[in-house]
Amino acid sequence: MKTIYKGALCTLVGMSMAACSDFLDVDPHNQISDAAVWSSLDYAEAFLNNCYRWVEGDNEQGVPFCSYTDELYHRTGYATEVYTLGNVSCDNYNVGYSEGKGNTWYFYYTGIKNTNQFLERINDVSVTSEEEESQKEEMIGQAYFLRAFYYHQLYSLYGRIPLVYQTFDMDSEWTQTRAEMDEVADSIVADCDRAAAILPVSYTGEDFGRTTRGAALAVKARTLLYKASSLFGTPSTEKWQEAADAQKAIIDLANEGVYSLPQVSNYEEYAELFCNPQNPEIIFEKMYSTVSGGAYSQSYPMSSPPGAYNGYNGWGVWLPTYDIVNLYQKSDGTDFEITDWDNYTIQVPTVDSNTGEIVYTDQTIEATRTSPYEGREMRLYANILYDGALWGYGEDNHPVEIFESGAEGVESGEQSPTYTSGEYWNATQTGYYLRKFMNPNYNQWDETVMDNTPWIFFRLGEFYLNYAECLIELGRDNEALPYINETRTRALLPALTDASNIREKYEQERAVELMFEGQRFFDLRRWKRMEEAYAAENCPTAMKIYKLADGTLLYTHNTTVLQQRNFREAMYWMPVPRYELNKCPQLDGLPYEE
Amino acid sequence: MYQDVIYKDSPQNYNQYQFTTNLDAQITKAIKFSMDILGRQTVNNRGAYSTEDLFGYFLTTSPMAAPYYPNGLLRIGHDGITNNAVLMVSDLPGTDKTTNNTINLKPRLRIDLDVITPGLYAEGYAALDYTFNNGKTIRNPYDIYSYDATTGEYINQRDATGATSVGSWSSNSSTVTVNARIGYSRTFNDVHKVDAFVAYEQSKYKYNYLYGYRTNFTSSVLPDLDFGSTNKDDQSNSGNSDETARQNWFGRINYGYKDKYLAEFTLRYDGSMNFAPGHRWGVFPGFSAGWVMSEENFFEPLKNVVSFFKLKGSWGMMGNDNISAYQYLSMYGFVADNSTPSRYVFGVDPVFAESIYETVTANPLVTWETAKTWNVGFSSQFLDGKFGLDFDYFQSRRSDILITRNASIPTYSGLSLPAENLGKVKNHGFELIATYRDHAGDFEWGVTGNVTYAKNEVVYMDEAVDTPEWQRQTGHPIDGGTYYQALGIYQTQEQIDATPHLAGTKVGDLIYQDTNDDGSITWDDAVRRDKSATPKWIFGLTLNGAWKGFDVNAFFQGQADAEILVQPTMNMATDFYEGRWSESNTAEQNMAAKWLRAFMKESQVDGRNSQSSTWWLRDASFVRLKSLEIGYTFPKKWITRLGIDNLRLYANGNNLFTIDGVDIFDPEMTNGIRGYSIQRTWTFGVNVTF
Repeated sequence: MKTIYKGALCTLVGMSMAACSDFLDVDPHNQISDAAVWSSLDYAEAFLNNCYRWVEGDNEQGVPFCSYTDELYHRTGYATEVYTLGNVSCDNYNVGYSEGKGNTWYFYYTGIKNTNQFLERINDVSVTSEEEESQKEEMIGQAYFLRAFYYHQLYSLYGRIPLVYQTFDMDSEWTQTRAEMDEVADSIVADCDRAAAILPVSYTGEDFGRTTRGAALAVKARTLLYKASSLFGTPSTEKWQEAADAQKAIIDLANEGVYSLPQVSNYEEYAELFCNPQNPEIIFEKMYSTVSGGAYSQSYPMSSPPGAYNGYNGWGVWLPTYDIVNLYQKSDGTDFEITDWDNYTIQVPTVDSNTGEIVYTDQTIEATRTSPYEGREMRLYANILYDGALWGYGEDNHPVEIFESGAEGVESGEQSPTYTSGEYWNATQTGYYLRKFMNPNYNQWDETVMDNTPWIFFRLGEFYLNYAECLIELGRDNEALPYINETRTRALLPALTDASNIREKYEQERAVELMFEGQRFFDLRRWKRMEEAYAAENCPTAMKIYKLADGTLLYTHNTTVLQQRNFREAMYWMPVPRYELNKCPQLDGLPYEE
Repeated sequence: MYQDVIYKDSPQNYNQYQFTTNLDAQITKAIKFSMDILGRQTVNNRGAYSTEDLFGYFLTTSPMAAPYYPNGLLRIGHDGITNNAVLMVSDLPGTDKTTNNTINLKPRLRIDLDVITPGLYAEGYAALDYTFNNGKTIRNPYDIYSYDATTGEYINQRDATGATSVGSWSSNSSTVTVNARIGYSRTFNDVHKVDAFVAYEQSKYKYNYLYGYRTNFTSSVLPDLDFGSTNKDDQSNSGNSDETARQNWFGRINYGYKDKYLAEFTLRYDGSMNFAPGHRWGVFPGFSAGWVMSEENFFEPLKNVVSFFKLKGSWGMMGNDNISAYQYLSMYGFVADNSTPSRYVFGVDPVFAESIYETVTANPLVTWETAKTWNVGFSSQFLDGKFGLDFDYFQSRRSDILITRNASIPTYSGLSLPAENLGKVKNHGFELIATYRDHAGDFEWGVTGNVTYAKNEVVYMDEAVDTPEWQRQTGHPIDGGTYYQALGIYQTQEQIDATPHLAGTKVGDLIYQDTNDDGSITWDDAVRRDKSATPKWIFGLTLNGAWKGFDVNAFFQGQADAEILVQPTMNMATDFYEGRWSESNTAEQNMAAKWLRAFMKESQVDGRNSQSSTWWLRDASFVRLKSLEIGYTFPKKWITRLGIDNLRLYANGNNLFTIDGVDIFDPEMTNGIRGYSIQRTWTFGVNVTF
């Protein structure tokens, strides 16, 4: 009796164990296996889509590269002042609130790892048709581009970086050192060549926005332009010739009809070019969806006078400086300068410390009555919102009022920093707001629709100018002229006719055409002119406009420096973060520390 | 139960209804069946903003932001239409309601198998726990005004407050646990007491979630999805599910001889789904022994002083598997809507591209983390129970601790690291409990005090190769913070010029120590401390007394040898403002200054004083009167007439006062100054037994 019961018990226990031996094999509910991914072309494409995620537009999170140059005064900082005030270091490497500027090293190396992983595994995916075969080839081309693009970002900011072209596992030997700059540039160019050989010249329909042959050639061209510049090594004729050939390849594509420089007849049409993802000048851009849920352009909230968040009174953060607006020439192609300075007396309100009342005291300023905004070149009206410019969506459209009160009884303009009836602390302090990249047809009041102005990384206009620079460096000044004139004449300015002082004319045109697009930070660095840009006399100052009782406006240059910038020699490069230096003794922290 | 919230005019509250039933049935002499049922419903009503949002906002809002205009109209926020604290707390922007329904069933069966052999029994139960939760999130526009000084008008900004939208979600989960054991409980010859069992338990959890959303409702009168906009662009939905499983075998044997010698042996064999087959199971034995010395013959002469004395000791092993599942496989997840960096957009009509990413690099060897602990101690009573003294000393070693090697694997590898069994920590300490009980006539009283000391030390943790030795975790407590050593406040420019300092340092800023003597202040100069927020000492004291039906019970708790970092927030507490260095002070006042000059908290504006440094550390020791209860039990003769067996009235207060060094918030608040405050509560109640 006992034995039977005991036996039954043991069998029961044994059976239950066997039945439950796979009880712990639970299939995941939100992840798919490695094998499933690399046996399906659709999943492989989803992984490639993932590889695009480290392409960050300059206008995301409100910290564009132009914040670090003489183009802009970034009113709220958002960590850009870590750089502009000269505090950037291996411990303080966060120079902007975005992922790509806040932790640049980590950001791009994660992107690179994903592209390496794709390139290593894509060959596991078997294809059954010719169509699939060519799709797979194009996916490989896109991955080569992305790898080159991410390395290009690191190269342009750090110069010497470890080159990683395979995926590691956790127990790998960590022996990589920072490769020399020319070697980095050459490997970027190699990836670009691989990509350009495979990629189509354009994508349409659902695939519009994927990288094309032109995009790969654009990364190659910019990389070679930097490689030939004095910051990135020793310039030589061979380097400049190599760079020139690369720019020419893009111009050739344009001549074949792949790209073109759209002609415009007024400033509104020019401004629209930057808001239109279908602009034929664009070589590579990042698009945004109108539906929230992803990254989106911050151009609107960061620039606009009737700002998106607090309604009235101007929420300007990206503020063009007095000096950079003066760079715009007159519409006849000559340089702009205010000549009729005179002394005027205005009444400035101050609070009497004894009575607490507002008293008006006289102050003499050096000003002009002539509006500096008449007869200027078309791009000023497209890029800058100045006092009197029209702005606003629909019924809200009105002249932007940046003037301040210059006499008792006169009210300051609504978008001025002294409009005490509103939130004056958010208004512009430089006298200007940024208009470039803002879409006049975007209704910021509708919280369900996001601004979908794309961020343009490469456009044809830049490569005309790059080519001109290469030709100038090679001593072929006369050949450079027509290329500088491409963008100049599109901007309705008279063409340049003589090649004397070509370098000055070139730099003038480049600064104006590419203003606020992010290139100037890299230009000033590679020309080694950052000390000059950060010198006390070039720090951001303001245009102040005072309105008198009879309605006259007085324009004056307020020379109080808005941001005391500070440049240290090491700041030509970004610092390798402290955590990486501690993990990798074989990496050096130059030029910040040994 | 109903609980309100500490803000006025808020729709936020918490309601709970619960019932429990225990039914026991003796089916036959040997078989007993019981069923426990628990049902609960909690209803959580909130406004549109979470507590974290609200408290974070209250403390950083501009002190000049008035919520209403003088004419009573609601005013727009100072940095955004909706940022008005009074508005955020109310139900004007919308409401969130969450209802959680729980039902737990536990049928149990016990069969006495004395027919096979006396003392043998089989017992099993199933715990069936089900939850059915649902919720609704309603948002609607509201009237909020901004004043236009030029026209003198108050403009209604209703258009900017968004459309009426409803989000409706429902989730359900089931946890089914099955437990079966065979046990043996018998006393042989009146002296050998044996109690043993072997048990098996398995548990499976399943979860489902569904969410629907529509916006642009015509009105919020009917807040159901059917009545929202029919435009596809105004609709969205999502859903997900989850499943986990656990399996364990365990058993225990207890042996006692004459209640004088006691021994216990336990064994666990635990399986976790988080590890790969072959690494899933962990064996965790334990052993303990006790010797009641006071029952021994040689102890007789001491018995009138030491009425009870027991020596005990134990050794055991426990496991931990608390990591996310599937790290032993190379798996790919879908990039979520709100992940960073976000998904890319393609197409002439831009749409988000479906993207997948590798969640972690696989670690196929990942397995149980183990902790081996042993302790020795004694418990004793003196003078027939008047005094009691218990003492215990323990040592614990955790090994194979699941950590990721983020500190040592280069970032340029781009790897997303899995958990690996690498860490080692040891911990030791003691605990002492003393009691005293006495009475004098009708008055009874007692005191119990306890003190615990625990200290941990890292034996191995992943660290970067070039970490300076004063920053290494090894040899220090596990959560000791790393801070710049702040030596004082710079009083003169000559002082600044003479010492290494951070770029931009001004008079009135902190002086940092150049620990590595390299002439500059970098994070390599920060030093790891041995103190942390985890206290080394914890103590408690209970006082109780009773007299003629009245009873009093007071409980104090406290901790010592702990510190927390209290840095100023945006909108600094007054604490940091008083006694600070200031340019308008005299030199003597500045020399004695407790705080440095007022500065902008944001680290990118003032990169020097906002660093983590020892200047901001505060002692987190405290003593708190945790609870005080006073009660009165009515004399039996008064109440038996009413048919009541027992009637007691009581008043209870919790968190009555605290003595601590932190001052500006309670030292036990983990969110610091931004947390929902710990509350002092008073409870009044009645116990009635019929």
